[in-house]
Amino acid sequence: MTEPTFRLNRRSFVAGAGALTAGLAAPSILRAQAKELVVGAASSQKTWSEEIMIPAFEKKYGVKVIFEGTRSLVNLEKMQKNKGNQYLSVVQMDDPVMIIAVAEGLLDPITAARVPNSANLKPGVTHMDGMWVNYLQPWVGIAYNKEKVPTAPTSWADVFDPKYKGRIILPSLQNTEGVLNLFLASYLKTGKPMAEAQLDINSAFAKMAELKPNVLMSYTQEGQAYNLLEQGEAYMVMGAISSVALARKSKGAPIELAAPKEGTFSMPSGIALVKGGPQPELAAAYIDMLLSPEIQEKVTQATFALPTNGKVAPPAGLSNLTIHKVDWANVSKSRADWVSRWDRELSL
Amino acid sequence: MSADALLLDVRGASKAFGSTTVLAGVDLGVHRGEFVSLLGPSGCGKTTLLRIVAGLLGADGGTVRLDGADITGVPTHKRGVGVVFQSYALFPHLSVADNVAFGLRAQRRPADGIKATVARFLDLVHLGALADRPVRGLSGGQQQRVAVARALAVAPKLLLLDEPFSALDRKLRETMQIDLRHILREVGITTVLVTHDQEEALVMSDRIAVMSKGAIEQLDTPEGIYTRPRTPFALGFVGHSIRIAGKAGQTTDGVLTVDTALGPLRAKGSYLPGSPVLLAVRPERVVVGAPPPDVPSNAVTAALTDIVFQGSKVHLHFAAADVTLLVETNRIPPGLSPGATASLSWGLADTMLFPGETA
Amino acid sequence: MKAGRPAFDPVLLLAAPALAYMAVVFALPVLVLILRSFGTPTGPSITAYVSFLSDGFNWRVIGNTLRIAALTSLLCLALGYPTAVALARSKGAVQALLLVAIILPLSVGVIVKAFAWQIVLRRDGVVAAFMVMTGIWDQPQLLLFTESGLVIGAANVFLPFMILPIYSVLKLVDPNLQDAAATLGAPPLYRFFKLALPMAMPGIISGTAIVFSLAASMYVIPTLLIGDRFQTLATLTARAFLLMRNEQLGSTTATVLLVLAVSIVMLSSWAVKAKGDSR
Repeated sequence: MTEPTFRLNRRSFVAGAGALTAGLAAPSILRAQAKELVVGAASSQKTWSEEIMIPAFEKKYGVKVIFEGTRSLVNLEKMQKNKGNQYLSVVQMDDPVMIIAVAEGLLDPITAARVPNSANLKPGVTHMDGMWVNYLQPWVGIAYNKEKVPTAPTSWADVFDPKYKGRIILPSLQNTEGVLNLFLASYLKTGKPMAEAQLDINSAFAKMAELKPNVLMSYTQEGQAYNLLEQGEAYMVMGAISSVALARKSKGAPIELAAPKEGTFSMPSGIALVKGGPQPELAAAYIDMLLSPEIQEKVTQATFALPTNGKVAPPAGLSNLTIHKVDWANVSKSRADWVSRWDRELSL
Repeated sequence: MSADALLLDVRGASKAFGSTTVLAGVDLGVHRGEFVSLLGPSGCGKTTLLRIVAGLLGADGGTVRLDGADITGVPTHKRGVGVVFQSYALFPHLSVADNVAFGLRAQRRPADGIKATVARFLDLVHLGALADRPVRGLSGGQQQRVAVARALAVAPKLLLLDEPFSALDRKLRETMQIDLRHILREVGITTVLVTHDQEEALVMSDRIAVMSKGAIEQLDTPEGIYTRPRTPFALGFVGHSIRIAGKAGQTTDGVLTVDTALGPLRAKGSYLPGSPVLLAVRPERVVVGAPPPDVPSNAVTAALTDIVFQGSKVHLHFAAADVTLLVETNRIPPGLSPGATASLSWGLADTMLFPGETA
Repeated sequence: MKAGRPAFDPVLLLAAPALAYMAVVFALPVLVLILRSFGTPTGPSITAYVSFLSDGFNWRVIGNTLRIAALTSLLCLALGYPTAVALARSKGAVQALLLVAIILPLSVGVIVKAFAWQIVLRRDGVVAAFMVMTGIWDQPQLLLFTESGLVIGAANVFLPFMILPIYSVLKLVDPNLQDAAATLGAPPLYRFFKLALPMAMPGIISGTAIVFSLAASMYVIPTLLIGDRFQTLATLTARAFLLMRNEQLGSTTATVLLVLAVSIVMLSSWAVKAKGDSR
């Protein structure tokens, strides 16, 4: 953790600190000589990466994988500051951040020639002609308390039922899954196809305003929300992420995650090749392995997400679940406006 | 004196803190215009009694009557009992004049009257010039006078003084005692002083109540307590004394012979033969040398151990058979020096007799 | 004597490390923050403030911030003043016990407390059960995610910061002052307003200033207790920096909060002082 942090800040350091930083940066040269691959990812991806993906890769290729688990925007900054002299080979970032990286020319396309398994990907998970792909699909659904809601909800419209007055939890718009709720609301209001409904944000807010009486709270920290759900104070979480809700369920929480019939969205989870990054062949091999049926199976089991490799069967009962595509460019452009509108229209 | 003349009449006041009895059914009557001191060592219950009279502490039993009315259950602010506290308890956020005006304002007296009253009482304690000063910067003596003026300004029926001189140095204390006595006499207020200082009590009081272990041992004039202490405690707490323990012998014509370590001595009184008694005499009643032949006297022989010159008087310390004998004279007897033995004598009439402690 | 006294007391050097520390980790960043709020690509300007203050919603946020801070201070004062009096009058083991009871909760993190509040303030929580049992409420109500719940929770965290300054003032007050006033014929209410309150006022002012500032700038507590649907200047600031990456907006809201908190604290202490002097 410490070395990349220093490297990241090197240019912002004052002159006096230069010598110190140079010294700390030295190991990166040594590292490049040994067979190493640096993956920039998010800290939340650390567990399954280190338990499943990295051991398998290191064993097969005899290299050392350095996993830098931070945040999407940090990875973006690392690439921006080291342009022309990249040390990251692979990045795992949220889709909206990928769009920026593409625009700045920081990524190399993933092709079937370099990454054979990318040919087997499901439709809708390859973006901008392969500039990045989704390696997993953590999907959002309705998490509900099994004691308070004995019959599983089947539609997003169930959340709006007046009998759940003050019992529904929403993610805030600061959370990506909160943004996805807007699109679902617009879809319910307009009946338009999801791709169009996403762009009709007025309808989204109009529908969300109808939900106000039902809203118990809007969270930024998911732990608190799930506590309320498990204690029975809240009955449902609209926009619950599979990797969070099902992980808690597997640990014995009295909750269940419903996949509504209208279909849903998946959380951003992109992977891409860094343009000009070291060890390009190994980088492609890393992505290829992550997309391979064997690893996909293991990782989806561990994370309760859907696979993106079409040859891997989705978990039981979810084979018909439609994952709609998100217009991330639109999200990036408008999110700040939506947040400010949310404050005004959904506040207490 | 009839009971009607009593301004303060405390009957059977008792108080215990947990299992410790602090006051054991105390009676105290104070006449109108009188100055009475409660004198005793710390822990004797004198401050407890004062706080009960002021209503600052509830008694477990007994009644307090003030000016004929039963005030036992009356809250402090409706009693009309003023108090000067040991710490003076001046209000630090107020000026001298505002401190004195505090009680008048609290009682909603008319504003112009307040101003005049404050000025009158500040003049009385000679603090008129400091009226607008904050109380924080005042000297100890000035603070005490503010406290007195403040307490008197509301015209209480009774004034209680709780060790008011203990924070002052000795020289100032003596002047202040005389000053305060004058002021209080001028106002004509009935006063009860709590003190552990016998000289203070002797200087200021019309009568002194000597207290010990939650009870009043003797209530009498200063002279009465000095010359006729009723108990060994009153004897010991007020003034110096020579104390000689012994056993009662035969009583002849109202005069008891007592066997002591210094030989047989005599005192007026009568005890069962063999019972323990205590003989005492005030140091200034003792003369060095043989007694006058025509006055019934006691005489002992003792060795001089020390001479302490005290200005107007001289203390001679003698010892005989483990008994210390203090003799007070006005000059050093010629030819007497430490180590010498001398004959000491005092009149039979000056010999006090108390029951002794059963060993 | 005065002429010989040096103008600079060397004892003041003892404060130098703390001053230097605060200058580097507090004053400097605050200065940078304030400067940044005036910075635009075309040079210094107050446009950020104009656009912030011309938005009615932001006035609501300012109102939220001040109202919650004021109510929290009031609740802390109502609970804290009697406690401080009890603490100042108690002795020995009782006092030690009280002090521990007041200080110990400080060592429990806000997150832990927040989960406890969830249990207590829930619809089927202890408070609701008590209110229904005593007949104050007809049916259980939710206190979580309401302004009342936020004030209750915030007061819980900040109560020691009200009690301790008042206590430290009261313990220096001669306990005989109240007795002296009573012997002068002052009834209890008069003693309270003319004596007890003025005596405690320095403690009340500093306690209120501390609690008000803490409550106006709290971020974690509202995040956990009322959520995203109730914005204060602090939550707005955090979001501007962390989510929107809009540093100018964040510095602007932070500066507005700073100015409001400082001026309200200074105004209130000035008002109390002015009132005291006019007496």
